[in-house]
Amino acid sequence: MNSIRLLFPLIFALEIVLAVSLTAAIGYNSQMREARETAAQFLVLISGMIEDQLDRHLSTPSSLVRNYAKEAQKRPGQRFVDLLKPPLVRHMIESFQTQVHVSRGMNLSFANPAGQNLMLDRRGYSKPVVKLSDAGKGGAIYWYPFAAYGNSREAEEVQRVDYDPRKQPYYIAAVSERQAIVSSIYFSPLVKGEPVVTVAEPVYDAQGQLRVVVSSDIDLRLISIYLQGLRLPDSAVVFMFDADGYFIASSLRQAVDPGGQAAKRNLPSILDNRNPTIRSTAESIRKQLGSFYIPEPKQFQFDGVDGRHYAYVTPLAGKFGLNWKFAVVIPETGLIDNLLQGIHSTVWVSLALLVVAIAVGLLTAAWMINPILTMGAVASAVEKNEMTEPPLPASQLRRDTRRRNEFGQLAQVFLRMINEIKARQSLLEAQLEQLRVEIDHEHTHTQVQQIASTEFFRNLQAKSKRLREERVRSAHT
Amino acid sequence: MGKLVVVHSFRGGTGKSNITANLAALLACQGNRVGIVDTDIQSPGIHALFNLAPEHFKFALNDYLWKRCRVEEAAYDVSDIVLQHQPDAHGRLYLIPASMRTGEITRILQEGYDVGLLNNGFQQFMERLELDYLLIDTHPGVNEETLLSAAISDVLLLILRPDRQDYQGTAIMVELARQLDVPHMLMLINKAINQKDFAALEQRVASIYGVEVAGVIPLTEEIAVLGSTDLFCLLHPGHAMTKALLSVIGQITQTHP
Ligand SMILES: Nc1ncnc2c1ncn2[C@@H]1O[C@H](COP(=O)(O)OP(=O)(O)OP(=O)(O)O)[C@@H](O)[C@H]1O
Ligand SMILES: [Mg+2]
Repeated sequence: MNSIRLLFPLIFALEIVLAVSLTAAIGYNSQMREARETAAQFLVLISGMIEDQLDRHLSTPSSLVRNYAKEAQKRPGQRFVDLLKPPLVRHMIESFQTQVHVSRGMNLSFANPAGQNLMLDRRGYSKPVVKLSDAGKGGAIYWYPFAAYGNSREAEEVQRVDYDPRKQPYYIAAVSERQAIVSSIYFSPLVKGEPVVTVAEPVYDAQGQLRVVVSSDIDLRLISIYLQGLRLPDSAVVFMFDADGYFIASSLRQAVDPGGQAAKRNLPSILDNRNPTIRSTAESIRKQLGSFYIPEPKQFQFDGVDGRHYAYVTPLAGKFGLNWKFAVVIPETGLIDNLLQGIHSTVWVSLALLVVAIAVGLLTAAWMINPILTMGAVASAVEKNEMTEPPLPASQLRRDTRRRNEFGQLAQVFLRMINEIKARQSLLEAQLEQLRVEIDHEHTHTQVQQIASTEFFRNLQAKSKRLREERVRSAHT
Repeated sequence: MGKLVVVHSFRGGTGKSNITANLAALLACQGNRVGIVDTDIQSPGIHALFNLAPEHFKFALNDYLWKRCRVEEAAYDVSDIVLQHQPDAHGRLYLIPASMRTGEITRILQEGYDVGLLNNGFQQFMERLELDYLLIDTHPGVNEETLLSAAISDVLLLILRPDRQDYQGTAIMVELARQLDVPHMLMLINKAINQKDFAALEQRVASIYGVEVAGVIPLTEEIAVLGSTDLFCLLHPGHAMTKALLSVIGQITQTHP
């Protein structure tokens, strides 16, 4: 038999659990969807921000290069045959310093077909320096602080390398294109092998002979710093790469680690990245999209070692002629963690509510079930004609009669019924008793014998008839 | 010539006094001259049924037994109560109460009295007041005056309740009455429950004792509520008790001494 004592609270508890879990599931799903939508929105936002940032990083160097190239064209007399001539160097330093938009991190280079190079550099050093090299004289790079140049001929630092600007990717590209270009990524000896891209413009004379190539570098390190400064959702990763899958920068504190020897350095592939998330994203980009040439934004999911991930890849606007892409990867665990953190309090409140609801449910169930159980026990006790307190739960029933509802009324009816039955029963017993006319004849006999043997009685016996007759007689007289 | 009816029960509280008083009243209503003697000297009580206050009676049965007065001097006319209910009744009702004074009661218990006087008293009471019926209310149990009263009675009316102890006690009384050659015995069952069984009860009691059962009076709340302050049968002429008593009267009037 399934007792309602069990069934009732069970149904109650089930209902409550179902209701709460349904609410929680709906909440969870909508939160999850929202999280994904947020991730997609985040992608749009971040791509916009990165483009803006690149714009800032690229536009200043290109305008700088543009201005100097124009200036050089306006003065065909300026030959740039010896770039290292001190008056020219000094003039360049002064001119560079007076340029309004030459901010921190700016740099400007001049290279001539003779292999001489002059670089004015304000990047990340304690003071601006001018870097001079001549491929014809061995290609060592001499560093002079702006202020110190000319006062003393001693270089502050000498890089013993055979630097030849004519062999640099930007120079080759500018000369072969004969116009302003943005180089692909390469490791520049001028900045001690840091990865850079360079904006460059060649300047020609009237005969079409190359006079000088004006250029300015953009450090990929700066982009990395920017990406690392982004406020990303927990465990989300943003990274940039080019169409060949070469790693450019990432939001992780991870330096661009060039593979191979310093001379013929290569960009590392994102397929070989140390970070498993970047690596597995790269693998699934290749698998799902075929190549790293990503003409339009793409969204996809993949299962990495640490669970499911949501990835978004998009090319950067080709405004600068760059074929860079970037990817945002958010692991589902990250989404859930985020989500859980978001709904943390909600979960607690739900749990508390659940406990309260179950407690209230059980109490209500008990409140409803107890009188039924009591009446059930009463009915079965009455059925077996057990009319005394245990097994008959009379006091419980009397307590129930105090309820001001149908249960109370029912209990009253039951109580009246029991009293009625009791009264009827005792009446029946009394009736049976009064019909049981039993006489102990032996006892009667001895008692009668005792009285009859007294003198008084025997005397009375002898004269009783006479007394009666006497009375009758006297009445007649 | 008057009839001597002794009302007795082996155990107390069976309703003797109530039945005696109501019987007497019913007889008086029928035009009889009726006397009552309360021989329950130890615990008198029948006077209460006739609204006779103890301070109003100068002499009682005790005084007669000590020869302080003649028997008729201890008799009081209580016909008023009958006339109140039935103004045209020709009957008369006289009561000789037992004394309610505690000293009198203890003296009787200690010294006793001449039981023979009681017999004379009954006789004189009947003669001098020309009674048609003399009803004797007795003390429960078996004692000398009870036995005497029973011995000289024309009718011995035994009251019993339908319970084991009354059945047993009544058997003793019936046997003693037989040995005293009581000419006529009647039984009246009082305080019976469940009306449906009355016929069976009556039959069973009659066959066990070999005595005629004149009727069965149910245990009635109204009688208990009245609490021996008035005559129930005069108030409720159609009640089962009244009917039972009328049947007793029928039996009494038929007997020939
Ligand atoms: N049929 C009846 N139903 C209910 N109550 C009754 C009935 N008959 C008598 N009584 C009550 O029983 C009580 C005893 O009655 P009563 O005094 O007449 O008895 P009793 O035999 O004279 O008692 P005792 O032996 O003390 O003289 C009285 O209170 C009376 O009202
Ligand atoms: Mg009495």
